[in-house]
Amino acid sequence: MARITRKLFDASSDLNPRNMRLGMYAWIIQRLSGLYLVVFVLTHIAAIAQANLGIIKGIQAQIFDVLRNPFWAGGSLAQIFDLAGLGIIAFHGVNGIRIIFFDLGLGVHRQRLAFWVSMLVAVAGSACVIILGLPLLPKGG
Amino acid sequence: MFRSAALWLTQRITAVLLVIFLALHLWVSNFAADWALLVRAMIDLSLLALALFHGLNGVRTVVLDFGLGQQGRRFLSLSLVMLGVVAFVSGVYGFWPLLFAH
Repeated sequence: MARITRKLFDASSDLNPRNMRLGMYAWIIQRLSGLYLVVFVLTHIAAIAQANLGIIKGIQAQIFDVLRNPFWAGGSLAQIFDLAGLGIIAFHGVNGIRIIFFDLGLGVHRQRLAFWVSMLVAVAGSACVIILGLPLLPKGG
Repeated sequence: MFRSAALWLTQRITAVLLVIFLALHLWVSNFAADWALLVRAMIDLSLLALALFHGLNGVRTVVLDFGLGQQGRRFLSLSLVMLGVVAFVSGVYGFWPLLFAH
């Protein structure tokens, strides 16, 4: 383990913070957020399935209220998980689109600018979802 | 085309589709109660399939970057396909009651 860590982070390694520049951070965050999102999708499936299959016990409406309003309203851990999911999905999505543009040969010499523009798009997109979603908050929740 | 190149291309195509379907999904699950049930079901189930493929194929890419032998590669791919199928079936199973709830 120590040998692997040394190999990953030694002075000549791309992963050594001294050698890391914006594109490398974007690459790492893209990978980590991707792994996070796999967990997110699997738990989302489980939550939806439980909500729908629980129709008889009448918990469906409650679970959908929570899923629809990932704004800490109930202060539960699941809601923080969902809100983090929104921001991370936005990042992963726009950064992925940025990469596809480079694959198509567009903006290859403007990667830094493209990164900050895409971050702006991610923030604007998340803001839109939150603003559209706020009226859905349960009254008094 | 080599399988890895085909997977790389599919990863790009599913990425673009995911952005579209994710926007549709957010709209459909909150503001589209009057849309045909079949359309809403198709959107959500397509998103499910796309997300699982893209996600698990991404996991494969990340793991393979650490280096794996032929045997481990096959084991990894098989496990991920099995996980994907199980997750998709349980997603459809969990979605099913919705189709009859109205």
